[in-house]
Amino acid sequence: MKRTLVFLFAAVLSVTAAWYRPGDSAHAMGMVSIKGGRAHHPVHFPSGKDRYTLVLTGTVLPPYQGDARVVVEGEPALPYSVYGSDPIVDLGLRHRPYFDDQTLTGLQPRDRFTVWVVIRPPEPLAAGKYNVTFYDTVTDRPVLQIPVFFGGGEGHHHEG
Amino acid sequence: MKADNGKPRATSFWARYRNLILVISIILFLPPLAAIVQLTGDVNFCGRWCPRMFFVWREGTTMTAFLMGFVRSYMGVALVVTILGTTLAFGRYWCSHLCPVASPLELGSRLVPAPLKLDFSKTPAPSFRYAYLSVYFIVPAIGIGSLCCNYCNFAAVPRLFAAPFSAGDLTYFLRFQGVVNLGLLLFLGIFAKGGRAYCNLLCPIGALDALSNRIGAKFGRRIRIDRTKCTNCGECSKVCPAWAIDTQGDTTIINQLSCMPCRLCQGACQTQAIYYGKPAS
Repeated sequence: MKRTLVFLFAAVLSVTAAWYRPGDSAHAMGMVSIKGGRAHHPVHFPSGKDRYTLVLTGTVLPPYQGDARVVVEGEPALPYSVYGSDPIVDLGLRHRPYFDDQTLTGLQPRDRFTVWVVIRPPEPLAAGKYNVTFYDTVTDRPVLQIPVFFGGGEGHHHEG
Repeated sequence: MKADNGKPRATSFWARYRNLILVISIILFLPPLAAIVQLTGDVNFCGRWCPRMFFVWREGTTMTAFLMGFVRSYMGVALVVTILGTTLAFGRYWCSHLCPVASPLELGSRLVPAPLKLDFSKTPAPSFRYAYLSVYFIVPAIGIGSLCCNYCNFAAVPRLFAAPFSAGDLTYFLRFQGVVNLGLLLFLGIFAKGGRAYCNLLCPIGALDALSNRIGAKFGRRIRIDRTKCTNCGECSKVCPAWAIDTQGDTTIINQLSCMPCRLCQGACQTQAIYYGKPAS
């Protein structure tokens, strides 16, 4: 009896945990390419938070190589920070791009990368459309653009 | 062989050097060094090394996308296959000695004074664990949520080690989901008696590994009890971090659905009734 009750309790708890989304973070995936890149899906954040965290993971499609600057675009402009995910102690065992000054440096075909974008609206956002855009630092052309929507309820946002 | 306190001491390599192996595992797999994951150009267990997500079917996933998950996380696939395969033959050595996610929780819990520790050992762990695992598989398949990344110990523990050095990893914890994960690691890890409540209740890899352990128990090497020597004193169950040993009346049994060969019970047994080996024929 105790085992059955524990099983049911754990199942209800787990379903609730899986279902609940606080909405202050999301995960987006994309592919960097010379043709402008491709986001797997847009990101939807609920309104009213004072901090949003977006985890961006991506792959570089051949033949693109270069450096890409990461910016958050939209009106009104929002304060944001971008962080990389570099090794603490880089043993130099394999090539990997590194992140410095909002720029992914040394991207090569088939590289994978992760960046964290933290957006801190000065006041709660009601609604708005923004883009997280990766610009090639030489041509200044976008190589990946991920739409980010604020407002409109819980919507479609993924694990982060 | 007897220890100073008169108790028999487990003398195998795996028993004697377990703590050292746990520390080496942390150094090799976790930041700031993370040498093993850097061999593939990675920094943590996400992406190529992810051992938790490739086998989960999500609503709307095509077979091609599902299979591509295996390709994308090829090191995670290799890791899980190796863990489950070796467990069939030798028991859960990954969980007891090698897991870099569990190691800091267990070692950290030893630093917490006993009065502050939470005792979850009366919880029927398999019931909780397999309810969680069932939801882990079913809920994404029917599209009402996911437990994969949001409650991932393989993401949270490496980031906990990297957070003092990296703003990106610190960011992981500065949001609701990060706070929840940190709370789980503290509540079910550091502050849990034995430091293994997270492993026993919420780790999907541990749950799969325990199944492999149970399946292989009929032919593989496991921690077992010599009934001719056992006095049912219950000392072994007091030290078991996996809550796998139960004394019922005049019988002490080891639940192979929870046991891992940490050998702590072997060290606690005064009659040397506990051994590691194949089933008696």
